Amino acid sequence: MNFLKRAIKNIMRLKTKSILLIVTFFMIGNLVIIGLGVSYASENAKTLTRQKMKPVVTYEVDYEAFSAWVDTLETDEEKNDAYNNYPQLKKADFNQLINSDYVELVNALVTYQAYASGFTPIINENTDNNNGGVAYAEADGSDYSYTQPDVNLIGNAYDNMIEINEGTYVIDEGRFYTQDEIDSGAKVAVIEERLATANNLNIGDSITVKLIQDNSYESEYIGDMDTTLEYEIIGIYTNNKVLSEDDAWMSSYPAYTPENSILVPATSLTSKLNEINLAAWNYYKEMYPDEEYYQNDDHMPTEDSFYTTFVILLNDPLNVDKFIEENADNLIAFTKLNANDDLFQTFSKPLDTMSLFANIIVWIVVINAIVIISLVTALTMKTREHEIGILLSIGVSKLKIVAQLFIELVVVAIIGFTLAVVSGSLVAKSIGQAVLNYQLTNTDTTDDNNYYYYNDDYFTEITQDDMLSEYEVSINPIIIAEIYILGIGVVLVSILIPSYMIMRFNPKRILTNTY
Amino acid sequence: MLKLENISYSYIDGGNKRTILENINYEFEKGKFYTILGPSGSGKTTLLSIIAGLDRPESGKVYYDGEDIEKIGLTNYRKNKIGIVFQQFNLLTYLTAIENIELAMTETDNEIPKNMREVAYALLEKFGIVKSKADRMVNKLSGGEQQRVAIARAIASNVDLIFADEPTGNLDTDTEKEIIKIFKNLTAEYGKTVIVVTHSTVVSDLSDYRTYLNNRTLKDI
Repeated sequence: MNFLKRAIKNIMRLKTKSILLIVTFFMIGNLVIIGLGVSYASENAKTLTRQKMKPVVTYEVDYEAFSAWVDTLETDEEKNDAYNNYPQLKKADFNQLINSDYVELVNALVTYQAYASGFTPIINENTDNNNGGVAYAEADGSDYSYTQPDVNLIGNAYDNMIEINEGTYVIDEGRFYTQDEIDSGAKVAVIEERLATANNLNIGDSITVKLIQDNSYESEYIGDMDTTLEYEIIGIYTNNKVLSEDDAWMSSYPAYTPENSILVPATSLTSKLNEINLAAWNYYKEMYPDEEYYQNDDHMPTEDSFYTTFVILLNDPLNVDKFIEENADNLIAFTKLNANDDLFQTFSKPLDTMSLFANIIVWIVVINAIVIISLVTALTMKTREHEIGILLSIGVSKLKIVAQLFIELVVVAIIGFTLAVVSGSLVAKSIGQAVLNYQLTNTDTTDDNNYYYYNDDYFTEITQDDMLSEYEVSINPIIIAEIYILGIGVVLVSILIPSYMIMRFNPKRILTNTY
Repeated sequence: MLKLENISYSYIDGGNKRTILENINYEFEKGKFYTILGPSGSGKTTLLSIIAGLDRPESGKVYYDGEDIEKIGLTNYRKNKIGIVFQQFNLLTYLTAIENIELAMTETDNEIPKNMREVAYALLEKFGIVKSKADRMVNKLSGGEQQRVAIARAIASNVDLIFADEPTGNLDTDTEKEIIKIFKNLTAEYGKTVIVVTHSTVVSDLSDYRTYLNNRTLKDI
């Protein structure tokens, strides 16, 4: 009769002991299942919500951190100096962040509202007629006029765009610009289909925009600099962007109208903008010889500093946290990677609290289970030390004895846990929902931070209801596997310790109980 | 068959070292029935435990067929070379009589017939345990019956050397006589070597060799 048969006969013939142990494992199993169920449901709701969100991370100035730092400065001089050195997002710094396997696509955008030259932008019916032609006079008597810009130049530093990948922009004819064209600052453009149709523009035609309006106040420092840019049309695209209710006001302004967005290589824009800014810089440097800021050439604009929007599309929503963590040390001071996490974290507060408590419960139960099962086993072993002595005296190996005791306990544990899986599945759902309801009434989930999402176009809008709708306590195979593995582990530990305590003595001492 | 060489054993009692066996030398021959007599506390059971591999001597060696039992390995020695019968029977109470016999048969590395259960029934029947009793839980049997089962278990693993520690201590006189007959038969019929620790002169009178343990030494009487 081998140890396996002995174990089974022991379980079958010592029924009271076996039933008591099954009840113990059943009760422990239920508590662990409920705890794990709630914990998994909370984490799962967050994961599913995260999966529904676009895996987008933006590179931004960390205004809060910067303001907090400025507040720590003591003198006004120090504070002014800090503001003069306001953190600036630069493409070179951004490039350090995107060398990651998680990165799918990148936007490093320069946008500039300019003026159509030689073609007619799309004007909506509700366009405010007062948008253009405002004349005003400077104190020195010079007259300037201001006209609303009517086209929007969007320049990317990379040869694809997140919008194209997502279908917001669809290339209908021709092509998008290449990396070589970006690197060489080529004057090529992809224009919107409705703009092309309205102006009878085709691929191969040219389109001209003017960055600075004639007779504007800027002409004071640019003089007679030519600010026109002539682009060759290499592609025609459809802009599927629909203005939201909040953005409806934009349709009154031609430059904000999606049809008037012209896609160009970022470098074609930055080189001209830099030329304009340098002219302004020199103008002010001369005008304010005592102003330290303008006398310090470190503050001079560079082509790298015109980028306003840095967006990274990752390959998986679940890699967002990993990507941010991976780049934590690569960020320059007062910049951050924003994954719209503040809102996500606020909404997930009740789930986090529940998950925390559920995990604490699981750990308490597991620790208690180890203690209880070890004690029960130790007491059982005390009554079985004579049996162990007998088995040793007839030459049964210690390993086989431990194996027998282990199997006896594992079998009752599996029965107890299996019953617990059945009952736990029934009660975990209602308990989980009750705990969530309690949490919702006791957790402040209002978003009290007035965050300004500069790049909110790229983020997926989520609500707490979205997240809570994903919360569902169910006993999945992972929980079932965990409880069995956990239970078998506890049984093994609780068998090994008392077994060792007894079997370190020789059979004579065990049989005569003289240890 | 079994040779004791300079066996000594002592233990600490109340902070004092107490030596109960000192340089014992003795040789047990194959196929003989030995009894070890001696006053209470003389170390008879300790000596039996040492030669049965249940305990280790402080010094000295035990040789089985010329091989040091430490080299054989005490677990292997107990499993394959010897059988032990205790005063308290020491059967597993959650098993039937026949299952207790099978336990010894499956654990040993010695050759056991394939029809193990039939052989076990036959063995028990030889010792007066019929099939209906063999299938009972051992704690439902009388003391004498349990001791027969224990003896059957001791020889079930096909060993040549049987030890018994006060095997009749818990039995009435009639049963004692029956058990002694069995031991006597083990040597006569099966050719086993039997070494019995006992107080009983009834037992010792039937043995081939009587030894006496006193003043830490073992002598033939």
